[in-house]
Amino acid sequence: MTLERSAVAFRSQAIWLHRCIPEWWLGVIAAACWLLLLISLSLSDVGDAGRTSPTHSFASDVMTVTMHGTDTQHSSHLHEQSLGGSLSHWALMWGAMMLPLTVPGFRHVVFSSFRFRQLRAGVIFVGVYGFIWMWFGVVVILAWTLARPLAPRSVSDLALVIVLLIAAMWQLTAVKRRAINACGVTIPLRPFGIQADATCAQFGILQGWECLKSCWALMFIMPIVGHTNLLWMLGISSIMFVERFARSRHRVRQVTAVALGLVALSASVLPRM
Amino acid sequence: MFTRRDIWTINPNPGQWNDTVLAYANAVQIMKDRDGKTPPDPTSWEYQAARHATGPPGIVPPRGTAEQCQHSSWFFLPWHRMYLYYFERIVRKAVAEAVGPSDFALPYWNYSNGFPRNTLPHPFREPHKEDGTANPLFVAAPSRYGRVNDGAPLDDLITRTKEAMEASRFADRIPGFGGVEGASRAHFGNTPGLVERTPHNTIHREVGRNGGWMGNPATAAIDPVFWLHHANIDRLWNKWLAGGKANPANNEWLSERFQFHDENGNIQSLTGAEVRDTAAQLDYVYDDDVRPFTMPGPEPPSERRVPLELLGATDGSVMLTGTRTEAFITVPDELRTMADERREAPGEVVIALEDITAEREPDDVYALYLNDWLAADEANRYYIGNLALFGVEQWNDLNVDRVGSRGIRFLYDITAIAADLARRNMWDFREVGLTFEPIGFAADEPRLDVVPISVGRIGMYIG
Repeated sequence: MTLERSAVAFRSQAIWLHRCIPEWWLGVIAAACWLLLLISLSLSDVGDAGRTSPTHSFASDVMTVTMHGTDTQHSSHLHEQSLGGSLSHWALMWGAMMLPLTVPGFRHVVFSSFRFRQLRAGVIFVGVYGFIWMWFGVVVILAWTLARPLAPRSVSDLALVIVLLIAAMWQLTAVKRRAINACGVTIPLRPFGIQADATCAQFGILQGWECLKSCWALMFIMPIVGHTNLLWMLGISSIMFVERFARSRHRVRQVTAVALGLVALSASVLPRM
Repeated sequence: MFTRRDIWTINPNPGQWNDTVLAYANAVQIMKDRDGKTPPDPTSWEYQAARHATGPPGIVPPRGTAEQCQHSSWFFLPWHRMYLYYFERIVRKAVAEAVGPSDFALPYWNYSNGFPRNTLPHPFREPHKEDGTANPLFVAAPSRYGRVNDGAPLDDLITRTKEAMEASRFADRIPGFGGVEGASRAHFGNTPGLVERTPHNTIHREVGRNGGWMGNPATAAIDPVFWLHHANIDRLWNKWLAGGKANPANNEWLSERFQFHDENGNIQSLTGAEVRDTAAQLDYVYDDDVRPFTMPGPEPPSERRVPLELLGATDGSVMLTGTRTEAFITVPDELRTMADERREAPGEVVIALEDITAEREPDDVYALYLNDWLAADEANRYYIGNLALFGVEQWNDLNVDRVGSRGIRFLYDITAIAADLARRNMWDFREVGLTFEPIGFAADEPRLDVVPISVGRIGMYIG
């Protein structure tokens, strides 16, 4: 009897939590993406064991990849991935880094929808938002995959520095500022029928596009440093999260621009040290 | 202790110039004489006006003080209290320079006390002072609506304070007296509190009609009547607290700091915690304050509840173009059982006007009525509140940094009305309609060039 009561209380609490925090499953998926990327990185590390020095370790590998971008055994292994492999890594990376940023829009869509279509509305919104970013990923990965073998090694070495500098400058543009602020724009969501789905999708396109305009330069860094480079992922995720939710957005943009510039400088200088 | 007095009490007659009012007029001129300097004088008239929004061209308050004015956030009341406090100190110093009364305090305009107090006070209507010199308090049309200058009375629904004063909480998940709970600091947030909605927004719309300064946040504070209007809003806050209500206990509301310039042009700052009691902390009272007054303990956070749930909505937008407009809410078939089950005890019911947009500041103010077909007569219509926008251009400006949603939402708690109708067996969730009716000057002066207001959707939510 007590067990039954506990089960009822647990179920009731779970329903209450689901209604208050409908985005909980987005968090689960994001966490799963991080975990899969971590596993992928570890497996790659094991695969490289025969080709690395006796002192090779996961930590030193991450540090090497962090500082030297493309110019490592580890990252060259990553970039020998197939296009499909790169895209799947991009998808995992998007799930890990961008899904948490969809929460405000997701909550808006869910709470603006009738109960019986809340899940559907949320999935449409997140799906369309993600679709925008997947297309960006296709373009970026294709471009990098095609260009890299043709480019001289020195140009490849400079790629990270250039992308970091572009990201730093983009932080300070009016387009970036307006795009970040547009992340809070909502549109009227039709409540009924196919038009309800259409406006959820439209909202996903709007949010995805503004997010892309805001964060494209930061995400462009990832294919260059490697999609499973968790330190870079953590750093860029932190920047995107803070600039989206911090009150002093102007200051955050300035600070992150300086930080990206400094990282670009160190990336250009360190190989010569 | 300084006492802010009702201007209609101290200066009720035309051609009369009470010492306080004359001192204010002279101080306004002194401050205007400081305009146009390089660098700008922070105690000048245009600089103080620019603090309200982006202001006149060329006036850019320093970082930290610019784009701070709080609207549609729960900092609306404390920020404006601080704004008025430092403005009054600047004026008081100018009054002293002109050898005016040493006990000068800003008067307030209580427009909610019927005729003639619902007309513009005489000192603001007269182009000249009693000595024949130009009156700095007078603003000619179109910078102030001509009919207001002519003494046209403001509609009762424009000056109404009933809904605001009856609010039980400062802030809740639906707008309380002062705003929505937990709303972040926002130059222009998305959901105004009750006193901000009416009479704050409605007075701005009426006095600033037809392109008047008061109609746009960027220019509103250039009109000298702005400060008397906000002194009245500030007075209403004291009055609301005296009714046994409380300010928020939330740490963010208490500790959020805002910067202003004092009478010497130096930057000062205050927090919400430092402006809760005007007598004890800011050394001023209103002539109708209840004294002695014990500041009530802080308002606890509202209880955690499941978010409001959408039960019905309009299928599409509603366009308001200056005429009476009706809109009907549809409950989907899938929720009709739930709607019927709650028919006799509706519980919490909220009407939300969502994603409200307009190209620029719309002049018209609308009164909202619920289920007009149930009203026995004009006097018994179910009024639920006003729709008056103020700050549309600032809301729309994506160059203004703001965290959170940008969709303008006006929320109306109809719980009491629904309960009353249910008691009389007249409530049905499946038969809910709203009537938007232009009020005030919009009602008796229809225009051809009305700025349309688009209400993206009307939702009916239950708690």
